[in-house]
Amino acid sequence: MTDTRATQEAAFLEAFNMYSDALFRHAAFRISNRERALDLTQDAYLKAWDYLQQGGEVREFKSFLYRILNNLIIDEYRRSKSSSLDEMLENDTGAMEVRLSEGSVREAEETIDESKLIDTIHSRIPLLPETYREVITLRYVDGFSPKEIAEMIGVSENVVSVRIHRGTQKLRALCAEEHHD
Amino acid sequence: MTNFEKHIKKAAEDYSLSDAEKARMERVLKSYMRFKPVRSAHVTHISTWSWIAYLHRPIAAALIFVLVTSGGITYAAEGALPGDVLYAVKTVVNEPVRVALAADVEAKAEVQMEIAERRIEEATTLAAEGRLDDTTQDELAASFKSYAAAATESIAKANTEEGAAIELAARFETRLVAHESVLAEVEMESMESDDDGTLRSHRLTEAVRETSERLSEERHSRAIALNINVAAPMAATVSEDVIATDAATTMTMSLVVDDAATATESASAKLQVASETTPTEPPAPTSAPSEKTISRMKSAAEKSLTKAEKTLRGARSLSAEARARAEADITYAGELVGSGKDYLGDDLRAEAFAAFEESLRVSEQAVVYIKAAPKLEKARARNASRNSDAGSGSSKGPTIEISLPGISVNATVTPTSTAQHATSSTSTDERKDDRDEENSDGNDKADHDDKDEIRDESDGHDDSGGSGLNILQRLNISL
Repeated sequence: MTDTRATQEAAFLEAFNMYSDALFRHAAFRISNRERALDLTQDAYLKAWDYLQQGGEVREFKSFLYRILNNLIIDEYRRSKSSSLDEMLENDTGAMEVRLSEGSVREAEETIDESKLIDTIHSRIPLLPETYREVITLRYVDGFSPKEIAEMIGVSENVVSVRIHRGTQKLRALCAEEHHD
Repeated sequence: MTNFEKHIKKAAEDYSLSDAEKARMERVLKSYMRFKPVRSAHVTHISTWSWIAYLHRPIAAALIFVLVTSGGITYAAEGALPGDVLYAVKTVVNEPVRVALAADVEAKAEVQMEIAERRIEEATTLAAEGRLDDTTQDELAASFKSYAAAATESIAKANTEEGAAIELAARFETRLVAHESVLAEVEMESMESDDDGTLRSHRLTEAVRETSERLSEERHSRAIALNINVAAPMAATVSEDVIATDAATTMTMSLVVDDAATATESASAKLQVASETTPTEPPAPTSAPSEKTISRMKSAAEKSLTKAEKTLRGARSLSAEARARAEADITYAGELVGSGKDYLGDDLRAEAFAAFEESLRVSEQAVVYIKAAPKLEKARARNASRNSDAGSGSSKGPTIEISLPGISVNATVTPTSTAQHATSSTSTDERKDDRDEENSDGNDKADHDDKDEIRDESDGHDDSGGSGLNILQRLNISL
């Protein structure tokens, strides 16, 4: 009994050491707010412990923690933006992407030096609809496969792939737009 | 991965946990694990905090020492809201420990007052975010009741002679009334158009109101014991001003009016007394409070004033309008302290006491409103965005202005300053304009005359030349 408990605690602390940096990075990038990201990362671990403490079993800490954090981020997002920029952007007809020809995006990418592009991504990421931010962060920041992401957020793998594709396009367009301004 | 996608990854890599942050997180986590160990989960589940009552103070002190040093968890829990993971730590560990650690009955009353007020603040925060549901409200109301009752009891035990009880009661009562009106306003702002107009927090609001009535009684009985003519209960002043401010909110404020009916009577009775006794003819010195009582009220007023000033200085993200209002309050409270001292110099002890008490109230109120201002803004922003979602002005929620006794109340009554309230969002503007129109159309002439009078008075106060007279007039009312 004591053994199980000790093992569980050790496993949990190990999970903290292994994933806390990645989880924090994920949260910070998603919500563009360092302080809140610290809180959410902490909360994710506390919630995970609550689950263990109440007798829950965890097979794979990594995806379990990501799932909790993802829910916390969604809550956070709902809390802070009740009228959503999301919907506004969601409802656009893609005119922006059309307007910015593929060529100009390419050009933007090549001419902007690296650090400038990174800054631009930082400033534009809050404008990207949350649905896209979720999958893009999981895919490119955390390196999960579309299949893993699908399991995590509860949609089909196909949907994930489409979202990744569209989201990347949108973010590109958002970044290029600033360049043209 | 394309170049662009690599850059996304790089952008995210700008964020990293510092060693200190990670260490702190780990500390919190470890103490949380100790607090909720896996094995004995069902045994140590704490459903009540009564265990703390069995601890002697040194043991409680040791306990809090252990909790604090073993990680920032108790600290981290302080800002938690109902529904947050750490909220239980806050209410089950931190708060009882704080009460247990209070050195004497007055300190205990202070802590209990503060915790009771926190419940209203939490409800306000949740309401501002649109997250206040019935279950949470009931829990908050229950917790409020138990702490408010404990605080009232502690106040009753406090020393009458030195004016401790009367000071504590006045302070608690003032703050409760202020908290309540903030909560009501936040709720009005966040009310959906299809709501039936009942405030979602009505049970909590009722509990708050009961407590402030009890406090008012307590204060009166103490005052009689000390031979002091006391100020009318807060509810009277507030409700009168609110009614004058906005006819559209009569519905919601009717509760206050009911409660305040008796209070208004007593206030007008006092008004008569006051008009008979002009300031030049002070009441007989025998009916004045003792020097000790006055000096206690004086230092309390000064302390509250300092606190209000400090709170204002520390308040970031305060709208210009809220800041101006707070500054006006603080100035007024300062003037009251000044005139209290003058009265004291002339040995007008009853007037001095009343001036200090009024100053204490104004400062305490200012603190509550300064702290609440961001929540109100949040609720307004939510409301504005919802209205713009719903279509142009289709849902026109009623609004009320915060009305405080003292100068800022009068400021809210004037149409010009209502315009100042308008936030940058257009839908809020529209709503306010609509309401102004309603006011001018719907109210009868007498109402308007009233308003003009009030405005004149506040104008007089704004020129510092006339302020002395104004304070005098005000004191007459409360004497």
